[in-house]
Amino acid sequence: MSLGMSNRHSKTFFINMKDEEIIALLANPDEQEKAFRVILKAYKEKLYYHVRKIVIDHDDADDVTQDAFIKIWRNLDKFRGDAKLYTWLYRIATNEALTFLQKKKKDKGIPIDDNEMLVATLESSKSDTYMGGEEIEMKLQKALLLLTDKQRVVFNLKYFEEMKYEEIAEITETSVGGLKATYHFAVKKIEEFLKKS
Amino acid sequence: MNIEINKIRHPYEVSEGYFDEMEEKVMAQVQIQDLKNHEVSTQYFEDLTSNILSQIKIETLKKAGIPNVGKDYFDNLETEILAKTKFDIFKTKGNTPTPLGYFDKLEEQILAKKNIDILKVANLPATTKGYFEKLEDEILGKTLNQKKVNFLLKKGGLKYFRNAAAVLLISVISVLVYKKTQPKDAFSDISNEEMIAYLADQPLTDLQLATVVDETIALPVNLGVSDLELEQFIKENNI
Repeated sequence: MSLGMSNRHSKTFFINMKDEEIIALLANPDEQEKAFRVILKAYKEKLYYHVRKIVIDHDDADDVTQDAFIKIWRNLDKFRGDAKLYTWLYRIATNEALTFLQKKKKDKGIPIDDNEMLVATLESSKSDTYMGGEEIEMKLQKALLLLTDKQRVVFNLKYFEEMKYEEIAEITETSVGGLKATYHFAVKKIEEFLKKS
Repeated sequence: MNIEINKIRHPYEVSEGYFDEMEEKVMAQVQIQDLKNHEVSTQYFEDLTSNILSQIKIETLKKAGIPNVGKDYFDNLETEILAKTKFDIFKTKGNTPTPLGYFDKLEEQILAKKNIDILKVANLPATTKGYFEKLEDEILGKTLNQKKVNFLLKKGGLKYFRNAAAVLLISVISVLVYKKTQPKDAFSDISNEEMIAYLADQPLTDLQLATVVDETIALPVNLGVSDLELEQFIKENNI
């Protein structure tokens, strides 16, 4: 499989392709490389920020995002057209980020629901180039770290990505009812934290 | 505070151009993964190893430069190669150039040699059956089976040898003395032809002449003839 297409050419040619068109490309094994390039261009930022909100640290997010795309590339021929492309991509990225966090906590002997390590990372990265925004934005992120990792994923997908519960259900492989309850609980907890702080 | 109404953004940022770099990194990773996923045969790695080792040897030789060789090496090498080449040609083809008519003469030479060999075999003298067995017995009978003569040197035998030597010495001296005392024959150096020629000029009777020439005829010491009878004989014969 040749990967010789230049970035400029692929950018101008594939930038506005819809998921349906990308799926059509994936159906042809000879076109999978083109399809992967389209996916990478279209979803690299979205997936990075999704991962970053989970792992907090930029370098970790960088590694996890790259690993996620490599996993996407390896499993491109296993993608079934019955699922939406972006939910399939988000599921891979989410699983990769959660697995990374679990391993990191396990290596440091930290309980799986303890996010003190992530709070410390968030505090230490206030002054670096990978953190900006207003104080309320930082407070919100701190409030999110009161939730479990899976609750944070649901909140991020609903609140920041504005996905429908059905789409989040596909990504997290949970029921829509459970997602609604989780999200509702998360919003209440965050609002209480912001009121206190 | 209702966060769903008052939307709050996330504070995470990246440096400029980060996503382009990430895209390149991912593509590079994918290419490496793509190469890793390509299966190759076991023979490929064996060939690869062989090729790499060959390249290393070539590079080593290149680095080492031209190796030193002994003086006149290439002159001798040329001779050796030519010698081997000729030998190989002779072995394989056997068509080394020969002088004109070589094979005609060769045929004659071979035939001549063959005839000589045949004659050698054919001209062996015939012998009777069992001749060589008898010959062997005869030779053995005359040599090894002959009773050996033992020469024993007795004690005191030196006396006999001394006496024998003395006798031998006396005999030799006697012969030499005898020969020296004998008168030398004055006519020994004159040949018979010279003697005959000389006598022919001398006034000798037939009897005298025959006596001189033929030594077997003895001269008559006493003929038994008186002088009277002798004068009468001379007259009758007009001598």
